[in-house]
Amino acid sequence: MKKLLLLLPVVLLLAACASKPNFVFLEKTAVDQNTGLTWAKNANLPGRQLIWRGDDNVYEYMKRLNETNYAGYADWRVPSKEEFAKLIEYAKAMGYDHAKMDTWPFQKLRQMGFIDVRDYEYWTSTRQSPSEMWTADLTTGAIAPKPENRPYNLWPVRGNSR
Amino acid sequence: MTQKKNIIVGGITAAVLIASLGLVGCSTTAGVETTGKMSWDEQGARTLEKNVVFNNSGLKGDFQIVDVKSSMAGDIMRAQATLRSKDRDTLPFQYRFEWYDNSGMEINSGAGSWKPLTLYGRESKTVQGVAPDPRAKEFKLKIREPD
Repeated sequence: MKKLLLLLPVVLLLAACASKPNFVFLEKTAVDQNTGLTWAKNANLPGRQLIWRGDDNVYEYMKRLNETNYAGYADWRVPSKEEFAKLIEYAKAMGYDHAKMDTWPFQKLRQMGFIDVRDYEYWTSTRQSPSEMWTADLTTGAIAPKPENRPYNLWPVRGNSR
Repeated sequence: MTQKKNIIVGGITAAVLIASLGLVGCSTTAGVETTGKMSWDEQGARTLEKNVVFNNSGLKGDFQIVDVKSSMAGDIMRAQATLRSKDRDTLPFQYRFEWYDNSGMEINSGAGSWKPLTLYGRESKTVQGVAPDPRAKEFKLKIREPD
């Protein structure tokens, strides 16, 4: 019994650390109460896929988005690999089954209230090599490096992970 | 004897041909050539790779190119170079912008005309060019002495 009481704080601490994101949806944004990140509610703001290096790229789109103060903010950025991993982990924790398409991350994120989540890869801001960036595939949840000159989706985020 | 003469004539002809081919291949402005090539850094921000080549050592003593920059007006590339005279005298020049696409092919080849440029003693002057269409990703500014 004494041993169990000693373990209780450890169990409570682990439970707190494993707490899942809890999103609050606003008009144009969704705030993750646990990480502190603010995601664009629309997961396909550009309305098209963009390349990383070249004409009409991610950098130029983000610059324009911040110049227009989208949703009242001018510090939008590309999410990191880890930030996307957390989002996917959360979506998968809602009941992922590879055999059932309606349980795939992009579907779960749509069901939560995000708009136009694409069943394709998204850019992360994490570099893998001089010519590759990590991308997050919201179909399977896989995170893998892809060449900079291929077009992928962009989902802006702001704030810093706690 | 005739055979020897033929060999000599043939040799001279080949040498002239090779020399002329070489001249065509290395055709440059007998002046100054400034190139600016658009590229992107790791973040995806536009950068300009610049290079200035003086093919005429006389001109090197006349002026220097102190600044080369490029910007976008929508999807059209613009280029600007600032020249500073090193001389006390007034110097006449001619300049021309040439534009190239991503693969280094010239756009509207030979269409740009030479424009006059006068640099007064120790003066700095800026010349600007606008690409003919959105394909342009590289420019060359050529400067030469008037004909």
